[in-house]
Amino acid sequence: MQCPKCHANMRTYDRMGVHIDQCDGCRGVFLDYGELEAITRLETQMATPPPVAPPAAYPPPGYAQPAPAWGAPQVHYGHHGHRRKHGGLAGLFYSS
Amino acid sequence: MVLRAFGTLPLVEAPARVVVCHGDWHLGQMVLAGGWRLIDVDDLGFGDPAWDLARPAALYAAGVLDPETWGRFLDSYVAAGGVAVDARDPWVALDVPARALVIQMAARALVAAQRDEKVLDEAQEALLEACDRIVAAHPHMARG
Repeated sequence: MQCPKCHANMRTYDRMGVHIDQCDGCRGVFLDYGELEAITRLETQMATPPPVAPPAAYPPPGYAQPAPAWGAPQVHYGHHGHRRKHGGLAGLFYSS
Repeated sequence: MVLRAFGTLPLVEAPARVVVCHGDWHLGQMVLAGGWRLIDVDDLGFGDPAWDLARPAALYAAGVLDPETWGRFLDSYVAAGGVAVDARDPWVALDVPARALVIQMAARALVAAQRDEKVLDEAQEALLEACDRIVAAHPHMARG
């Protein structure tokens, strides 16, 4: 994904279930629909820890998978940041 | 860069949960012989089960394994009763093991490429790029 402001590449982070795209150039942050509400919710939870953890559904197939902060850039409903070339992969998957 | 990425790894603490682990799990250890069999139990022992998932987790985080395949694998693992991760936030348990495996695979790729005088393939390049991101996202850990 490209930054709508400066057109540099945007990097994807998943933090506590919130999906964030940050621009490598201007460091601007892009939030998906509903993510601002998710952040507000998290903030409230941190201020007053709920007695019971809220149920968080595992993302359904097709939805962006959770990834570490250093994970490869992911694009919603696609895998442009992911490599499907299988040459040389066998060694990575099949050997000790 | 691989060494700098290695410098971000924390010292591994005693795991909160210790279960029987394969210790060297990868697809080459699965044999179809009247049903799937898990072979090569030389490294079987008690430990943190997240390390058994470290390799596919590392390949997913490096962008080598696509999100759908990884998601299917993780869902199936959890559905089958796998205890290594909390399905709501699997990366709490997987982050350090996956980082370690990215670094190990990247280091081995570099050594092999130098030994055989070959250029890195796309998947190996992806591992090196993942090392860059690891360094960018983590502070250096001082080890004693």
